[in-house]
Amino acid sequence: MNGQYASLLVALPLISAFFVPLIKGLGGRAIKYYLTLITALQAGVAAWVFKTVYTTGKPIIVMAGGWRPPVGIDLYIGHFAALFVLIVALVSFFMAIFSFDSVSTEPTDKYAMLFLLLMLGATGMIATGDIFNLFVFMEITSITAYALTAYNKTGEAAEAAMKYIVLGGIGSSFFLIGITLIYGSTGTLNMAQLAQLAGSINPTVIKVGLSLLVFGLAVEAELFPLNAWAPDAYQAAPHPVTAMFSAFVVKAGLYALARLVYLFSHAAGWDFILKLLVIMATLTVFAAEFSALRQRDVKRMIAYSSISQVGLIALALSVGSQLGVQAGVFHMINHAVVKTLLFLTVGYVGVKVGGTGIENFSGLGRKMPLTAFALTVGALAAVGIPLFNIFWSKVWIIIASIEQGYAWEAGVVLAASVVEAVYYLRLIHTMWFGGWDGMRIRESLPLGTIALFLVLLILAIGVYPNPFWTLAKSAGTDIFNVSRYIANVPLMGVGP
Amino acid sequence: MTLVPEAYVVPLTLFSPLVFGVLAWLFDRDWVRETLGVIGAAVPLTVLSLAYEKASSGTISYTIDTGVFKLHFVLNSLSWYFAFIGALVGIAMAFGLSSTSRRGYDWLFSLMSFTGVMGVFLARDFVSLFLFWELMTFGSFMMVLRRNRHESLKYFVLSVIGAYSMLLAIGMVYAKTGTLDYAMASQTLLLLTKMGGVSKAYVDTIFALFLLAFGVKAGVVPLHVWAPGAYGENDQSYTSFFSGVLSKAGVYGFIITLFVMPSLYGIYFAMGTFHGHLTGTYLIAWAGAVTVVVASFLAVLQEDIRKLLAYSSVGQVGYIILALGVFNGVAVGGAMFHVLSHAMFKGLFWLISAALILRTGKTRFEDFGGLAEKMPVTFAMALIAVLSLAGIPPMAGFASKWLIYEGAIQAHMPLVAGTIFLGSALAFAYVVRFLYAVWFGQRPSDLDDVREAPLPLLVGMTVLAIPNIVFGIAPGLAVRLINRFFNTNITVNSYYSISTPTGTYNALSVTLVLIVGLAIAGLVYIYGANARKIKVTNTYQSGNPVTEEYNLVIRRNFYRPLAEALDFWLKYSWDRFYERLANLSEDFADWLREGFYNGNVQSYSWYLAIILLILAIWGVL
Repeated sequence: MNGQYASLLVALPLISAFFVPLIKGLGGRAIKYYLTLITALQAGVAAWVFKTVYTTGKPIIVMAGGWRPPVGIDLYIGHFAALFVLIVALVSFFMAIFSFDSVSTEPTDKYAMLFLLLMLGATGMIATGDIFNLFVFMEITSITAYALTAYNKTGEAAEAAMKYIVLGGIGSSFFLIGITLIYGSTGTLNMAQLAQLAGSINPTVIKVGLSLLVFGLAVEAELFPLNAWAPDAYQAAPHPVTAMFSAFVVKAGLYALARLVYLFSHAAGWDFILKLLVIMATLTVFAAEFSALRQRDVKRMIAYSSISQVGLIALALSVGSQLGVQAGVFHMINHAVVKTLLFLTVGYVGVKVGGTGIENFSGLGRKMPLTAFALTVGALAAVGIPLFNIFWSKVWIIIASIEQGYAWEAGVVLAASVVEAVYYLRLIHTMWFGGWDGMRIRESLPLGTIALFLVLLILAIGVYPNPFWTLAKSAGTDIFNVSRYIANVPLMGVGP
Repeated sequence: MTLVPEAYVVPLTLFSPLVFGVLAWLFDRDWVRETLGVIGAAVPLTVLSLAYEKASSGTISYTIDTGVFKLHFVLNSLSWYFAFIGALVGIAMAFGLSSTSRRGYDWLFSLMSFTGVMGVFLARDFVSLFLFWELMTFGSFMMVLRRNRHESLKYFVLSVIGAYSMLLAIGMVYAKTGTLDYAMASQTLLLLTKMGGVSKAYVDTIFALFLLAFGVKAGVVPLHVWAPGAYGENDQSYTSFFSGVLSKAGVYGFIITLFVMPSLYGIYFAMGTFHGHLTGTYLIAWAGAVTVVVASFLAVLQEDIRKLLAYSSVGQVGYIILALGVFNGVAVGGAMFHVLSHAMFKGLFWLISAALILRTGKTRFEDFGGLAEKMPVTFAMALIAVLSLAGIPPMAGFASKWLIYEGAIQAHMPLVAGTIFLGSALAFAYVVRFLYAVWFGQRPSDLDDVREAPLPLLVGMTVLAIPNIVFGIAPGLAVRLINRFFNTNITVNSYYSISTPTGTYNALSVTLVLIVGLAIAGLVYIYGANARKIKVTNTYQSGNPVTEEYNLVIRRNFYRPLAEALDFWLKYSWDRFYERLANLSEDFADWLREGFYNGNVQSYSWYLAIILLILAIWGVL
């Protein structure tokens, strides 16, 4: 099959989103079936892309309109993008199924459209090879994210969305200024060409430009102190959307951050940016873990935990070594699996029991045994117990950061992880040994299957991490090895 | 060796407890569960016994390739010694659990920690060590979690702090040496220190982090606060393993840092000396000494049988740490010996307390009394345990303590030796109380229909009681084992007699003298003494009037005068210190959350402005 079919990854959700109004007449359930179908198709395409990229070992370069970059916009689906596009599609598929149970607020057709656009935006951010295109996809992602945050139509949701809009808006404006500066100085927006030219740009321009790009992306990537919108948004958004935020929306931001930072690794003042990112990442972990400690709402608690894990990923990505990037990518995979599971189960409890406050989790082990079991596995994995997946990536992140001379940062991160253990264990204790009101709740079969699948995945990676570590290594190299990235993109010979 | 092919020795030892634990959890029926559990615990013991020849003359290696890391395990005479002790206590625990537990949950997690401990003992690289260390901690933590959330959290937080220190130390070692293998890492590290590739502070930090990590598990004061709760609030049969073996994993960690990574040896010299002693090890010796004294005093003051045993366990492990810190052949040999004897007598003690709690449902001394008639076999076991702990020949506890004492004297550490002496006296004080308050004296009427402990528990006790006597009468056996992996400077004259450079202990002659002495005393008692039989209620007060407020009987407040004398010191408590620290960090968490995530979008925008400002300033400069 021609590699250009990979453009379906972007085209499919976009076109399908526009078809939603046509399906609307068939009723709310039909829309959800439609959503499931499209996400399943997307997963199929993504699986094909993944297989192609990993069997041939070569990235797929999709050239819009047949124009070679830098004249045409290209999609660069390398080892990282292929892997993460698949994760985006799979998580979306699971969450589409979860939407049957958890989303009842009208208008569901709008929900479906936004859902597809969110998936599209994240896919695009991961796949694009053009910096302005990246901005466009980032805007698609964040604007749909604002809308989805407010979707529940409660006061808190509106407030959370408002905060998100203000902060996200500031971030993306500065991002745009950064792009303008760089474009003005190089005359190109293609990432590969930018990387080629990075060494020869005026040092002040590149310094300012890069720092503005990093600043804009750091808001999306939830780095301290630019992540203040996140807990509110995570809590207010519909449960499936929260899972998507945590599993891939933030990852798309992180990826873009890492990609741009490494593209400009020859730029003047690069070390400073890395140092700043390391500090921000460390503080992210620290502040988020402590904020979660006395949280009475489990969904919000897990939101904080998600932010802290994101900080850990950011730390790994910004220590500036190949091992670090690989460990960060590995952690991204693991975190996507674990947080999908956690938000799925917590959201399901919220739907069935009627709230995500800690009191609703009391005696859950007997009320909803399967859900409680899945939640327990997810929680233990998040704490980083061996034989669960996160353990391995955490170990590598710690080693990678110490190797680069960030021993203090590693220490702070580990100290904060102690706090994480405390609040997750409190949750586990409440679920299994807390008082039980005698009620049993029937658990849904499809969601149970998804949860079990994720549990098995966590344990499989935990017991035998090799295949996934190999994946993460090649995906990480894809980000770190810029010269290969440049070589892979068939640039037309046009200079500035 | 022919029975179990060499390639299977290590995997069987490592994984059979875990596998059978999972099976016991899945097939959660009476008898099935117990049978599976006991088999799971019996396999390592059997395999290790069969592998003795091979392990003592050579090594058996085993590697698991996870792709991410290679996990490397070696069974040699050192790891065999520890693993065998662990397996012995493990089988006793399994017998105990058959009587005291009716839950698949308990079997799963106790056997999981069994696997963890075996992995810690056999590991030859840091990742395997850490992996199994965490597995062990997790299993034991889940045992406490079921019973007491607060205590389990205390245990877990301290363990996690320890584990993460270890991880940090491992990372620091790996960052400089690029290897995770003990031997390779230590050689490279030594080379680097000599060439100046790593700074002294860097190595000191690694050293300190390792000691923190292992100190938590070994329960070194002030990291011991988890121990009384975690040991007490648990299934007591499991505690025999928890206190008997898991604490030894901490000790084993000290041994790794001190001896298996011999290059650190060179590093101790780099740390300098203090009054003629190497600073690094001298610190360890004093940490052990403080542990002995503090924990023994606290043990004396306890009113709850489980708390007493828990503090006593902390104190006894303190002896081992102390001896390792004394750092000469005899003392280290004594430490290794004490690992064996402490595992045996403390395991036995906990099984006895399991039997007492199972049969009476009581834990406080004031509720016990006169049980010797009701539970004669358990009483006999208790007698062995008490004699061994108090260090009375011919029990194993005497031989090991004697070696430690000799070692400390030889190393010219009189103060440290003094603490051993003080600790022994205190140990005597608290075991006497255990002996008298539980077994003798008046029996409360509600204990009249107490029966003997169930058979499996008695089997478990016997498994642990026999080594106490055997290694007591034949200390040469144990020393011979220890000499295989460590040059202790202790000569084995025969099974019964061992010599250090300064003295000889002939256990057999001591035993004979003791028996003869007892026989004479018995004869005198029966025929010669002017004995009259009195009732237990017929007590006297040496002229002191007894009031209700100040009523000191052996079963209640017996050592209250001591508590009053120590009033000043008891005002300071590590437990309270940690509680306060925990509260402080919770308050800090609230403060941080409310201050930072304050819900005000204006302040959030300010955060953006600040970062922008930082970037701008950097751009200008």
